[in-house]
Amino acid sequence: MELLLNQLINGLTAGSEYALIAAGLALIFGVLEVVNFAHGEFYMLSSYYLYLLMTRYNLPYVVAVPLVIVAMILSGVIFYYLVIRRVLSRSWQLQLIATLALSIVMVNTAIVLSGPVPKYLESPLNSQIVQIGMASISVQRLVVLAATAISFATLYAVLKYTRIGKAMRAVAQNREAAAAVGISVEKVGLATVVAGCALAGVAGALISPLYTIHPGMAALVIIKAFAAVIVGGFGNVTGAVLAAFLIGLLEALVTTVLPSEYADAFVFGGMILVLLVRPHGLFGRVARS
Amino acid sequence: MAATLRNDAPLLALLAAAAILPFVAPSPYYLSIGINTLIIVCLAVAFDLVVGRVGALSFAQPVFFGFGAYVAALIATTFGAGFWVEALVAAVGGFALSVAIGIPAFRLSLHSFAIGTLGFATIAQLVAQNWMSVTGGPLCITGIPRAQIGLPFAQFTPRTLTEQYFLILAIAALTVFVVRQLIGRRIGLAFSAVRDDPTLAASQGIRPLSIRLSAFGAAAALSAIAGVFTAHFQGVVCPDSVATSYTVMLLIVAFVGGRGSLRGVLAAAIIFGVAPQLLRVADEWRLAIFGALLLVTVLTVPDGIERIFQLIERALGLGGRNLVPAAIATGPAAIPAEPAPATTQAPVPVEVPVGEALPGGALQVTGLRKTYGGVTAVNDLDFEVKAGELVSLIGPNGSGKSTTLDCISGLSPFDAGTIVLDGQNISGWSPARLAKAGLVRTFQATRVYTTLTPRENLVVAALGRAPTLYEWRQYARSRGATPGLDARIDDILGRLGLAAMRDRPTGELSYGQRKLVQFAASVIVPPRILLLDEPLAGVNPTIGNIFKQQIVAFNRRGLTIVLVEHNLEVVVDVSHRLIVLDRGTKIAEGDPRTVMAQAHVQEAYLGR
Repeated sequence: MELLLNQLINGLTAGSEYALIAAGLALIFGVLEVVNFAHGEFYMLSSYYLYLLMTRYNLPYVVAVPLVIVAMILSGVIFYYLVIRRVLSRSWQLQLIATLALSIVMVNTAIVLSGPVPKYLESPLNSQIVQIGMASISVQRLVVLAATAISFATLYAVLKYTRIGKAMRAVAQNREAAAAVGISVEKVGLATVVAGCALAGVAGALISPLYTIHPGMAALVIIKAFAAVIVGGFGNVTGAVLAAFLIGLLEALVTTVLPSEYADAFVFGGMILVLLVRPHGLFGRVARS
Repeated sequence: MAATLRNDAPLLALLAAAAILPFVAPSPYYLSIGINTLIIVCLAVAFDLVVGRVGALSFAQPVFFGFGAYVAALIATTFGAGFWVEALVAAVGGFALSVAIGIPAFRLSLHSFAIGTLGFATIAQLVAQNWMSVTGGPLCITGIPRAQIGLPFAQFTPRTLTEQYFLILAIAALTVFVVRQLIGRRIGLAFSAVRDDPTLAASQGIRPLSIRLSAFGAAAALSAIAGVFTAHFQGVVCPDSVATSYTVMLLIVAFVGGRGSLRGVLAAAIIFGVAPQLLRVADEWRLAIFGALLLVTVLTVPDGIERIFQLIERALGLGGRNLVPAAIATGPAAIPAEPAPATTQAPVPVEVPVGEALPGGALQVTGLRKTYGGVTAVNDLDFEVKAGELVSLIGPNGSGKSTTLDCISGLSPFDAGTIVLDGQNISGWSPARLAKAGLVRTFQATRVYTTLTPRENLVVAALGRAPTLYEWRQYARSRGATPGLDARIDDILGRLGLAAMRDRPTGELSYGQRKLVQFAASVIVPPRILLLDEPLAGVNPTIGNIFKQQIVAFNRRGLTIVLVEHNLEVVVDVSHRLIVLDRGTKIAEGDPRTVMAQAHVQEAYLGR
């Protein structure tokens, strides 16, 4: 029972990580129809921002986290103007390759600059333990869950109620029609990419104290986020988030009975099974014609 | 023959240059670079069959390469059956594995296909790492002996680097030969068709899955053979050999070379085989520089090296057809704003030769219902079309006309109802099966294969309509002219005023001309019943008139036609009978003039 509760919390934490990254991916795909293969690297980038701020400038964790988000927003702006805007009207294969190329640049630059050796970050919240029932849970994990919930509530509110959020949904439905009624696709694109990067930033800033930081840290995570995006129905943000939590929980449950290497195979096997039955995902949005 | 030789000359020159390299530069350093470059050539040329020819971005290619390497390693370290057996097992097994992966993966949209194959690649790597008893996991399979190649007169075992070099050179030459054979035959046309427009291909009787699997499987088999060589060459096979990092390199080569261009991919493979050595000076930055190079290439020269080849050709005044039309890399070519003036068109003979329709074509639709989410697009629709009749479906926008056509032609599954063609229940048949049975449709938006010429568009359509066995036998034939089919193609294109456009990329034609090409494709093999979706929408009056005349002429020859059209003047002129739809239900049916005079029909159209 205690093990199960702990695994439940672990699953939810991993699910949060996947969900924050998958939501950005699904958002960028949903609005701009761009598959961003560099998305995982933004997660990695934010972890390094955090590491830099905390070790080189000796900032406390609570101060560093908001600065990381700001840095990620700026990185998102650069990313948009440097890459995304230039490939928006190109074929999807070209978009995919452009973002893949950027991810190669980012990973390998990180390897050169920081070395392949993993780095550890100590968050003060990590060592604080609370007792819930029989399980002892680090405060950091609870912070992750709370911050994830806040992030998604904010995202939901922005999409639902703000002008830019409505514009994003309009562009998602029909880019030409939105442009025709005067919505600036440029601004919407920028907002979308920045939002995606900020979400990846939240993931990096919150989760890296729980794990280690290294240049390849995003590799497996991004594949699971992609799995979540596919299973959730390509471009469907809510579906991606739900699928991400599903994957996190599934993994946690599988690892209680199987060695963890097999958990990954289990997840991808599950993804392929779901797609065999429902090619458009569990919460599918049928592809636009 | 002379033309073939001219086309092959650069390749043969390249092969000759590669063959003399060991004598010009016999140092082990250059030979190793040469061997590694040739491995990249094998993989990249095979990979381009998938990425460039059928337009599917696969991340699973290294799986097949690694599969071949493991097969060779296991056979050689256990019972040692020799190179040929290893190559055969690797190729056949690689093909089978690719089909097993491809069938579920190609069910996905192409975006998801890319990520689905990435999932497979990840699983493969996990298996290689963890299945200790077979792969040795991270301990690798070591001590793989040199390849034992049985030849008619002796046993050949490549020991020196030079001998190894010639072995992989032979494998690379074989790979290029096989790929060239595939794309030089009619199946190459089918590859392009499925890449350009899989929906159109399906509605013409070509099964996109089979075509894609052929390319995917051939690429897998070829990569597996390269894997067999690599296992013997390196003497050790590790889980890294199935690593997805290979894909990145292959993608770079395919994109920098220019997808779908053999010469571009070859050039890029050679550059990327050699360049890492040149970048040795900046060793630790090497991969980052690679990535940056790729990024700059796709942002600035989306067609890659192929574009440079084309520019050189143009500068030298060598015409020649673009091997990689810009449309592949840069998305659909812009549609010319206005249909070109039709002054150049020859007068159109309106008579259609006898035998333009298969007998039959009687269609019965009963209780057809189709809902999208909460919207009922078609609600309990019943209608009948008799053999030889020309019936028009009309109604305001959103009345369910196109949905009805989509359901009849198998493009969208429907919720209830039965569709019967000449007494046979065809409900639930796939578009390809329906097309082969003689139920053919056109689309409201022009759908043509933009990178193929009008002639090739019609060849593909004719192949698709043929019975499956005959279709596949035809795929093995050359893309060149065949007297019977080409005479018919020339005849139809001539009748539609497209004779002069015959061998230009269809993407360069005007909107109206493309619509005519689509129409020609639908009748290249006489259909049993033809469903036309707004043929006149968006075309100029001259082309509109051609359509009208052709519709009447084909119908007079006995072709059953269902016409969906907004131009009521034409509809009333040509139809035997009208069926009026409003909000998914039939509100009137009968003789055109009588129906149009009815008050509730006018109301549906014009409002009260």
